[in-house]
Amino acid sequence: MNQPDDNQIIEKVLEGNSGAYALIVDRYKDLVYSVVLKIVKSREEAEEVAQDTFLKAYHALPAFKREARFSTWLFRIAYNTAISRTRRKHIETSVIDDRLIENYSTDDIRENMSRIDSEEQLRILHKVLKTLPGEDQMLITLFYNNHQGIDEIASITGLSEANVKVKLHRIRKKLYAEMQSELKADVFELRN
Amino acid sequence: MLNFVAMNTKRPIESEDDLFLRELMLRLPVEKAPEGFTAGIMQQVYSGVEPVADDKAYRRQMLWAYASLGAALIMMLFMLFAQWPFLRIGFINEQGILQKLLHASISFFSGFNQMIAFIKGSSTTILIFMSLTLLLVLERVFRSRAMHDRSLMF
Repeated sequence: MNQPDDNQIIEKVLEGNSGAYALIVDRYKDLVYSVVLKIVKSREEAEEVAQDTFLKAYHALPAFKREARFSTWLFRIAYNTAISRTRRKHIETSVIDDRLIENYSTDDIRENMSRIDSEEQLRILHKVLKTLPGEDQMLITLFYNNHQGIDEIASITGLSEANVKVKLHRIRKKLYAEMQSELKADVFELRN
Repeated sequence: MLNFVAMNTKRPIESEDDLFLRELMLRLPVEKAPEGFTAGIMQQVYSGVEPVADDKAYRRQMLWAYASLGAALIMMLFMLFAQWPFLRIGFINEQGILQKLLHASISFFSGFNQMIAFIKGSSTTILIFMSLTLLLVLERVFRSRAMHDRSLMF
């Protein structure tokens, strides 16, 4: 049986069927939790922020105008709640050393990564992601894992679209540069 | 150089580098919300609990609100009671300050009678302003008790 889409569920909730909201929570709880965890860092706080997000969204549902995807609207609430919890006004992203990030070939990195086994690939990616500030991790998670477009990320974070593009580009470069140094370290370990 | 052609704002970037990263990222396990998360939310939805205002942001707002209110009240007192003895004490280069403070304190309490008489004889504008201030404070007190520490005004 087909799952109802977000708008159909929202219609039901607005018609008075509060229980239908559980479908929305189930659908987005992991994504919201993982995004806010990247900003607030502690699991307990992330749970509180995620709960607040869903409650705020529930109470603001009548004001949801369906101009954007529901997920974009929900992530904007989650982002604002998480940012205000950390008492910051905007996201902070990493300063990247251009000399470092230009010193590699993405083709080589892709090739080298494809030579190692899947578990090792994930270990490296996990380690490399940890070198990014939480907000950068959040941007890249929204983009790759949550399939948000650049315009949607701009709407969620309040950044301009051009700014989001540049940030994603630089984050990708940083990821490749870190992967490169991880791969080199692996080769060094194997040789010794 | 930035691949602006591929960077469509509506659709994700799909250059070769991107596909590679996207595939890798999609294989990373997503952090799971704690068990019972949905049930916890729904319990609050059914019980009609409102989302809790962000404590820190809320406190900061309230601090500003109370500071503004305090400043407004002080200014109003200065305007209304410019003749009060406290306001006429020159603290610098004055002899017998303690004596003056004592007299001023006594006059201060007797000044309340004058204040009430002053309010009774005040203009409608001042009365309205004072009533609104009183309502603001009452609203704040009422809301803080009845609405999960949230106010309609702040």
